[in-house]
Amino acid sequence: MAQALHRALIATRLAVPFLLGLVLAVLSFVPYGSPDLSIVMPSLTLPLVFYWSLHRPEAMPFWAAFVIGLWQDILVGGSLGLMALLLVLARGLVDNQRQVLLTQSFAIVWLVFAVASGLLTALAWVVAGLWWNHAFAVMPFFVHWGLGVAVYVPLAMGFRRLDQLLYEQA
Amino acid sequence: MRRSNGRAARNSNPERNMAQRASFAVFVAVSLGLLLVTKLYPTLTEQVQGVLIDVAAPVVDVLGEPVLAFRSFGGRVADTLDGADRVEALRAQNERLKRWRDVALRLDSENAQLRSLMRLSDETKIPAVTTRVISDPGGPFVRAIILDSGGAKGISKFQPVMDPAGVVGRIVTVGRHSARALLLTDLNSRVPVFIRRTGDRAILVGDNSDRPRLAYLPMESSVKVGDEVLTSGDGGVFPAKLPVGVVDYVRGSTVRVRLAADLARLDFVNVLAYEPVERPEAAPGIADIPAPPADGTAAQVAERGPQVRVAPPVAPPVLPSPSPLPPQRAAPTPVPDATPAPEAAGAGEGGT
Repeated sequence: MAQALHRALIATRLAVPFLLGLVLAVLSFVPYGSPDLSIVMPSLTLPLVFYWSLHRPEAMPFWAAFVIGLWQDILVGGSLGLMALLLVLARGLVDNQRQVLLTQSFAIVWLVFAVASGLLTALAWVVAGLWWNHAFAVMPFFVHWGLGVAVYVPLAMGFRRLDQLLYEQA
Repeated sequence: MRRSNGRAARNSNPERNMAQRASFAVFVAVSLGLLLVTKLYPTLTEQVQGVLIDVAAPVVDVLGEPVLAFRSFGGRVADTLDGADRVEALRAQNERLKRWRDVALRLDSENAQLRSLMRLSDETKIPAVTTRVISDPGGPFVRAIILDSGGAKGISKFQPVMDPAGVVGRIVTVGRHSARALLLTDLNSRVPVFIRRTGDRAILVGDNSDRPRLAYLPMESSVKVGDEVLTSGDGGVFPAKLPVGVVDYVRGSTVRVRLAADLARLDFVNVLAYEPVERPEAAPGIADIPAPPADGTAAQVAERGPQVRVAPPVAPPVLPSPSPLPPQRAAPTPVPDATPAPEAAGAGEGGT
């Protein structure tokens, strides 16, 4: 019984960030009644993948980042693979710098997130431009990125609380 | 929020690192492969999207419920706060609309008689499926919305989507119980239109901005701000004379249109059960119309492009007044305020 409970706890720890990613992806699409918000709505999944890749990489494997991104692509209805690519790259980027980032303060990690998400947003602009064969206006992407950097703080605090609930009270 | 670096040791296993790198490479390759496949095989992608949208729509719908409930609550609070004023304004509006309804009914009957006399088919009565909008565009790439009805209710690709004020877009992906509509503002949207006042044909081209632009207008066009824009019916994808919007900006060859449809608040829309004259997939798609050259006209595009059948040239249509656009948006058409005699309004222009 105890073993079954333990297994359930492990499964929950691994599943929650992934499932949360699927939910956060949808939140960008629910009708808030404001088209402007809808257009510049920040990606909530990028902070999620960044945070969990850094602090609990076993709960955010590459396939999870890929599936969350693909789910977001399905919701957008355009190019399948674009968000999947970005989230996998974000996961890889964090993987590469984890040992350094884990020793840094939150402010530095936030700064790194800002730079990384800026690079990924610029990449998204280029790839989307090639895919749609259209030079997208830069401003929506810029606002999209800025809002993403801003929402990282409350999201990371929420993830941290969830992290504690899942791991440190067991 | 400083974290201990104890977990870093987890990453020190070389085999694990190799596996991680391999995973990274595989998923980057799969993502790029998907991008390539969806670009090269749009028809296949569309079929896959038709299946996937039925998976995504119920999830978006369920997760959107709390947001909609909050919006509804906010609306009720606002209504309560300025209830008396709103009741008075709505009462006045109701009176005005009742008069317009009388005008519309009489014109409808008059139109039916004239059509019958001229042996014209009645294109204005197109059955529609009213459906709920369950998603916003959500992101800077695509201007599309998800609807909670699909093929099971008779919705099919290319059908026009409207709100009470005007054209919203057209259906691009159809699932069994849901569908996706491309908005007029999307950069892939191309809709043949005409200017009501001048009769000039043009193509309404979306560019992801709020106000799509008019391309292929004749060089000598005298289009000006305030001109009403309606679908021309060219190409047969959209029926003719659906309200689209009002010319909002004219500078040189750049003409932009403020849409009649309120894309900010699309709660319910009508999908017109209008079958294109000939399925556009038989020919290059409307979306495939290239960027407008300097010397092209809408009619030329209609003839050489996707249009399988070009509607015969018609005189600039005269729509019955009242305008199909909502009063507050249709600048050129005066709205009967407190005193308009519906008889006087009805006696003016006759419908075709």
